[in-house]
This record gives sequence, C-alpha cells and structure tokens, in this order.
Amino acid sequence: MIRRLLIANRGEIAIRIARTAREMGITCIGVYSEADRDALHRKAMDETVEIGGPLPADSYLNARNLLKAAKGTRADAVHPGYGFLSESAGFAEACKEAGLVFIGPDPKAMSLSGDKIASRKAMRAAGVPVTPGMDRVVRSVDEAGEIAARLGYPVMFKATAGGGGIGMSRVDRSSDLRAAFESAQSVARANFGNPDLFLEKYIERARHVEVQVLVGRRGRGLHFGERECSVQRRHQKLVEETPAACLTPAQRRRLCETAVKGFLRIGYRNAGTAEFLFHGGRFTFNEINARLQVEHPITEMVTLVDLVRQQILVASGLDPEVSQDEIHGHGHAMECRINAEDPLRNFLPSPGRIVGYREPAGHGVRVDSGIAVGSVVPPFYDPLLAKVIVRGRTRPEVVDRMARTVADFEVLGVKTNLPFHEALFRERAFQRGDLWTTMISDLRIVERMHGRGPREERIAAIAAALAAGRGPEALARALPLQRLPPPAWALAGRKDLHGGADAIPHHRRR
Amino acid sequence: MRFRITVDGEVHDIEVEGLGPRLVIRVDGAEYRARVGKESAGSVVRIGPRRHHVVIRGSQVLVDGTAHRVETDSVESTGPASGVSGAGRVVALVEVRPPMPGRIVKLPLGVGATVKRGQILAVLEAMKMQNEIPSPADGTLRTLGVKEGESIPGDRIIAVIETR
Repeated sequence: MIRRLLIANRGEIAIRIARTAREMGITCIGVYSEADRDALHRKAMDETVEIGGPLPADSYLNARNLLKAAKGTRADAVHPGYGFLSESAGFAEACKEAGLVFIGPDPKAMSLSGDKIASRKAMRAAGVPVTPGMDRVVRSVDEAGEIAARLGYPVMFKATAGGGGIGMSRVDRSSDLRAAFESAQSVARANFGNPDLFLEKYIERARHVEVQVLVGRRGRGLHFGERECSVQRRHQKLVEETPAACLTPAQRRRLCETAVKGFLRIGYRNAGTAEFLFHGGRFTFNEINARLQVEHPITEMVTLVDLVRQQILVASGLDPEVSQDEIHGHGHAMECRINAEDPLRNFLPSPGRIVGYREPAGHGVRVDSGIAVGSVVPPFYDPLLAKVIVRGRTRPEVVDRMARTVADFEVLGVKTNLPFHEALFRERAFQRGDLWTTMISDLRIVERMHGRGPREERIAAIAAALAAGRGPEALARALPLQRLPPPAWALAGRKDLHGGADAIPHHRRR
Repeated sequence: MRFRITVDGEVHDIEVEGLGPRLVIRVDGAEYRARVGKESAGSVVRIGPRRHHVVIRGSQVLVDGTAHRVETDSVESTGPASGVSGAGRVVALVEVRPPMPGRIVKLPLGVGATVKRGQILAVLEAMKMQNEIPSPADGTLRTLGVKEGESIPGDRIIAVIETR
C-alpha cells in the first residue's frame, strides 16, 4: 500500500482525493502555485509544497516542478486528478522512471487513449461500434471537403490530441469548412500543442452516454454503470446524471459490456471512462478518458463504491473491493457543475474573491467544493468552483431536490452559473428527461434568463429605493460614501504576463 | 445615473434610468423595471408581481425584514434623464476590461461602429475557452486598445464605449 501520496492538482478534486487517501491512512502532500497560496485545498493536506508561478505551465502543468516536489517530500505515489497532466503519457512515464506509483493507467495505454484517431481504430478492431468518421489526420481544407462530402454534412472537426470537448468545430456546409478548419487548428494548437484534426460525422440530437470502467491489476474488467452527460454548453458538460433515462436494461448491459471489452483490448489498467453517442436507438464510440472524470461522484452515489479508493488499491497492486456481481446502482443521482462564470454575459469567467458562501445540505446532498469564504478565485485556471451532487430514489425526486439545493447555494463575490442551473431545472424538456447535447442553445435557455436570481432583485430594489427622486448629488449624500479599495482579486495577475513579478496580495511565506 | 453599490461585501455596478417613481435599474447589466412608492417607514419597490419593502437606516438597509450592509460610491450622472437640464448632453465613457489575461482572437467591430448592449466586442482566448466579451451598454465604439492576435495582460483596456 502506498504511504505518501502527492496530489498533483488543485481545488475541489485535490480535496476530494485527499479525503479518501486520509481515510486509507495515507499521508497527503498537496501542491500549490503562487496564486493558490491561500487556497482551500492546502488545508486538506498533511503537507504542501509551492511548485511555481500562477500560470499552469509554471506550476500544475510543470512536470519537472511536480517531480521535484515529489522527491523533496519523499512521496511514493502521485495522483494527477483530472485535467492538467492527468492524461499526459509523458508525465506518467516520468513518474514511473522516478520510482513513483502513478494512480492511473500505464503510459502506453494513456498514449493510445490520448490519440483520438488511434483509439477509434483500436475500438473498431475490438468490434466496438464507432461514430462514422475518417480515421486519419486531415491535412488540408480540400481534403476535408472530400471527406465531408463522403460522410455527408453536417460534420465535425476534432483534435486528435484533444479531449474534454475542446477544439471541436461543427460544419454544416462546404463554404464553412475553411473557417472551421482554421479555428479548430488554432484551438488545438493552443490547448494541446498539436494542431492535427480528424473529421467525424456530426450526429444531430445525440445523447452523450459514458461508462465507468475499472480494470484490476490482473486484467479483470469491472463496470460501474453509465452516466448521461447530455446537458452541455459548447461541448462542456454542465449537468450529469445516472442512470441514463434513454437506455433499456438490455441496451445498458450491452453498452457496459462493450466498454469493458474495449478497455481490456487496449491493455488498460485502473479507472477510465468510455464515452459514446446514443442516437437512433444505438450507441457509437466517441472517445476514451484515461483519468478519473469530474462527474465520477454520481456513480459513487448510486453504487456506494468509492472510486478513488479503488484507484489507489489497484495502483498499489491490490484488487478492487468489489466484484461485478456486487456492483448495483440504487436510485438516481445528478451533478451540477458550479462555475465562476456569468450566464448573462456569455458565461464570461468571473474571477474574484468570495465574500459570502453558504453550501446547501440535506438528505441525499453532497457538495465537493474547492472554495470557502475568503477564497480567491484566480483567473488562471478552470472556472469550476464546486460540484453539487444529489441522489434520490427516482429521477423526479432528484430533479426536485437539485432545484431546491441549487436555490440554497449562496456564493457572493463572483458571478456563478447557479442562476443558469435554476433556469435549466424549470425547463419541461429537462424535467421530462428529454435531453440532447445542444438543448441549452436550441431551447434558448440563457437568452430567456432575465436576472441572476432573487438576491439580485433585492439589490435592484435597494438601488431603486436609493435612486428614486434623487439625482447623483443627493444620492451621494443619502448613504455614507466609501472609497472602496480596488478588490484584492483585481490585482491578481494584472501585471505583464512576460516577466514582471506578479501582484498577488496576501501571500505569506511559510 | 451610474454608481457602485456594495451589499454585504459584494460589489455591483448599477445604472438607473428615470427619476422615479418608474425606474429602469440595471444590476451588472441585468435589467429590472421598478416602481417606487413611499411608505410611512421607507419605500415599497414593485418589480414584476413582487413587492419589496426597503428601509434605509444609515449603512444598514432592510429589505423585506432582512438587514444588509450597504455602501455606495462612484456616482456619475449619465444622459439627460439624470437631471442635467438644458445645457448639453452628458456623455459617459465606459471602459471594457478583460476578466483575465489572454489572447485576442477576434475583433468583429471597427472604431466608430454603433454597438448595442450585449453585442460582442472581442473574443478572448483564455482558460481553455474562447470568451466573448459583450458591450456593457448601447453607444459607439470610441477606441480599441488591442489588436487581433495580441496576447494581453489583465489590466489592458480592450475598448472604450461612448454612451449617450
């Protein structure tokens, strides 16, 4: 069993991993960038190490700094979380070479999974149905035009080194090909350092269904059921649920067994997720995620299995705690991702300082959060603040519970997508379980939002009461005027990116 | 008029159109139509079907019985409806800043263009996404502080909108 685990991540997932590791008697070593000196996740660790500047490339994406931290703290294992280096075969390899146990698949399987074209080919060879497309890199707009004509529009450009819904570009007609090709290449290059694209048929009104798999060290594959992640905005998941309302028991069985078969075929070990599109009553392979997913808690809620615990056991050379016969899903679970984004301003990221925070609670409510009152949400990282996970006996009960839970969640100081979730849960299509990946834009849910919730309306009332019958001079006299200092977060990172020392206030030397 | 209001430590940008009792209030760009009436103690503010009772006691404001700590600052008049009578229109210049550093990948408008509130001024690539920066107000695009393809720090002004 590993004894000292370095958690190479931040925010809610670092805290969540540490909880399980500490339950297993493992010492947790956390890492943090300069921008995260006051971050909540540091408090969840037994020890912490500063690993570099605010930019991910200098810290959470910096393998050299992470390995140095692991060596300096005598860690014997590394958990990469999700995002950052969790799907970097190079990092997994470097950990292996440094004698560190990597909590995840081995570099070769990770490499294959990370190459979207190679994984499609591997799945095809394993007899897994694959979404129609061309399994080779598209070298030019002309070539794209030929392939697209054969597949039939609409088609979609995808980054071969990509994932997480980034760098996907839908094309409806040949005249749009060039712009989509160039945009997808640019995003791919910026995010993955590799502009290579391939083409897939774009499936209209598809549902996104994925299967959680765990392969034990002796090559025994287990599945923990499926998750539906159809509620997305720009290919980023916002709400996930299990089980998927659209599957019959027979389809569920076939889907899950197919996923396990696929993972076994590519020699995968530890936890992973196979993503599929469900359309026209059948499913086709989309991609493999060789990491723990953001939405893994909903699977934990219905199966009662701690997935991080299983990951650590398998990585330590032990067997998972359950056999396939012992894995059952009870009831329904849903997760809402709470991001620091303003739904009334095109979901513009909203970094800042949290000045008020109240988590929801109750029967069947779990909150995995990376913030508390006083936390600074820096501008450098993913805007995910917290995940609200709800379980219940039936889907309607879970929908009611999540609507209440989201209304009870108060976050002050940054804009969040909480009001968006409230609007979504009022939608009849959503309540019925009628989901598809473009439903948010198709139903114009955001366009129909008017305000950010009851609290904002009360603020409008205050402003109205102050302003009524008063011009600016009278208003200035009506309330004590404060010279508000610029909020501390406003100074965060507001220096030249190339060179100047960063101006994050409130840091302490430990 | 425009001002900043801090409620329980959270700062908001407020725009007010009209002098009362019917007002249009924008809280960080979200629009509310309010009707304010005076009561014996404080005001009744009607927004939609709801009525809010507001009592102002120094820097403590009660809304429907719940107390909030409130401060204001940066009060500015904008436009004829703010009470500036006769002599010339008051024009406000609104600076548009990015929420974080990033790369400007698209600038769909040119200097001098008429813009509407919510219209996209720039696309900023940052935090794994392409972020569309909307115009905070109706007006004219007075200046552009960035170029397409440029990587900018968080304190750069992307654009200045002249509102009327």
